[in-house]
Amino acid sequence: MTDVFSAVADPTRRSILEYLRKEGPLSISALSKPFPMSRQAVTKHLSILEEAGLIQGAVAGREKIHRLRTDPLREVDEWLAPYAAAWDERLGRLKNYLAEEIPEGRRP
Amino acid sequence: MTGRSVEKTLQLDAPRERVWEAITDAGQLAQWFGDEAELELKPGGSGAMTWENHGRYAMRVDAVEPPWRLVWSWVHEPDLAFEDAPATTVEWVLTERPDGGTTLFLRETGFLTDKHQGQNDGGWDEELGHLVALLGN
Repeated sequence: MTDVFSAVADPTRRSILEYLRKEGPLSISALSKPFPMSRQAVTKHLSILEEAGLIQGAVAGREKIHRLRTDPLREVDEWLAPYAAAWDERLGRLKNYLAEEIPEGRRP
Repeated sequence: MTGRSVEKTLQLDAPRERVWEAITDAGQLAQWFGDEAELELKPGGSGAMTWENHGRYAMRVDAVEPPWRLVWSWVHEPDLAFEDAPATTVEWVLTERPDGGTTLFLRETGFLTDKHQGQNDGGWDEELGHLVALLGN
């Protein structure tokens, strides 16, 4: 989980993910073109994204093709789900309170 | 879906002034939010929400615009001073409905910076939200 957050904390890596989303699977050389940095620097970003499970590399001929994986981003959303559920409960109690009903059990 | 925030909309039959009281008056907050509530209703004012089973969660008031907008931040760890723990920000916006009822819009933001303070501080959680929305669908 921490890996995903750290991986997307960097603006370049977010741009790489965006680019892969728009363009589909790409080789390192194709991915290096739009970014004003060395191929080595792009490779380093790609390895961090791969560690976080946000992209997947597959060797195709002499090149490694990188493709986007969205599952870890869904985990980020799932991480927020309990907070959303807590608000559903609280707001439900507010609604009951305003309707002059007796609020039920409370929790943060 | 806006990523690092939780957003809720609630339709209430009560008029806006009544809802404003319910979300700003400490005595009323203690009726539906926490077991005990403290809220100093001015920007920079302090507050806290306490649950007998969980502890006291320190708050700080960020904005008060009666009778329609309230913003406060609260820490996510109990029994710590506001300054000593990561906080999220909760914004409440009340809109009058033509039928006399009220639409309550609530947004809690800042979750990601809880976990990753200091990393590219400010703004990137929102950017990430757009990314999650785009990629996650």
